[in-house]
Amino acid sequence: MERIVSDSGPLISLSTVCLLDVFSFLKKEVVVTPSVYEEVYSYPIRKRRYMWSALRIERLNPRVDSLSASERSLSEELLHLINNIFYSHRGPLTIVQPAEVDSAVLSLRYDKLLLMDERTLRLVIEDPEQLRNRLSRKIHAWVKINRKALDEVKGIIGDLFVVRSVDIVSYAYEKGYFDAFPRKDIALKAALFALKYGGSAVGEEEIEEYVREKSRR
Amino acid sequence: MKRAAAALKKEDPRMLREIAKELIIEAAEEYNREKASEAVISYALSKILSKVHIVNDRRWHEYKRALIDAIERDYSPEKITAIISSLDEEMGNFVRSTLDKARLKMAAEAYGMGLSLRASANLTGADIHDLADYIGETKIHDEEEYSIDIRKRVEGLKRLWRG
Repeated sequence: MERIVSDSGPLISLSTVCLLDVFSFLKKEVVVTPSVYEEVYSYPIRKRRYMWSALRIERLNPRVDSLSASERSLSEELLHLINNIFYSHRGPLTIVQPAEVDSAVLSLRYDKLLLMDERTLRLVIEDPEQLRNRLSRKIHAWVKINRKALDEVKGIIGDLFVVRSVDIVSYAYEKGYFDAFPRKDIALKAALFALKYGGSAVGEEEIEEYVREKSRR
Repeated sequence: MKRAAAALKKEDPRMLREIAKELIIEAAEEYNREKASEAVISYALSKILSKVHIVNDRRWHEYKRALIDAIERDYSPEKITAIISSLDEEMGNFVRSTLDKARLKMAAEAYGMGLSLRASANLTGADIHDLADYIGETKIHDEEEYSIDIRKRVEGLKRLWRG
């Protein structure tokens, strides 16, 4: 079975809206780092509000892979680099934490595919200028890019392919995941919006555009 | 926090919200948890002041005095948060505490600036699950441009998984 490395966000969102079986439908095994497993299971299982979601993820039985010593070292280096890409007059901006960088490094082992709903690390890879503009706008100060750090980061994870929970579910839709629904196009739209409201970094317009395109066919 | 004490004395929730916003921007820029804590406190105080049933309660003045003291004399975030928690327990109406809501709100501000979900949650002490839910209800992601949309990512998956 092919494997897909996942960060916490997509698993939590998919669990919350009862779409975790998309992985068995697609015959993909989910792989997570120990810190992601802690976030999606070990921690929420102790909180009443998120206990049920945690149990559903436990039932999914994701594979938990630790980083090797060299991967750990790479992750630490990558973390330092990413948190030195953007800087203001106060110094470098800390924008990511170790856990998401660990997931990125682990995904290098598995087809360089990473399932991640939050947008910061994804934008570092795909559109650092957009992230820089956002930081500048919100801080009300200039934010510059350390090109050397950015180039080094791109050298390590520049060809990582990041997908979100909405993308996995959309792919599954095209494979027939919603065929049992009388109105599968509506089911797709409902599922994508449910994921968006659960925190997946996707805009309303992006969903509407995709759903419209699928409805036309 | 002197400005926060002044705003609290005047019972000005708007000023406290402005102070909170300024503090969280600085906190995010420096990744400074102490400043983030001050932002959380300022925002929590603004929420308390906006609750009519609290400020009209006869117990409010005692709490207000204790809060101002805790801010002005030997500033102690732990003492302030203990007072707010006690006030919440006595007079609050919701399962989620005023401080938790303030941590969420300030974390969402940090996320809106560009920090990752985890970085934002760790900065203010917000729960990451709660933060993801909260952000989902905002328009933060609607403001973003998308160069690689759902269709392109699905096409990428088709290429990778050969169908």
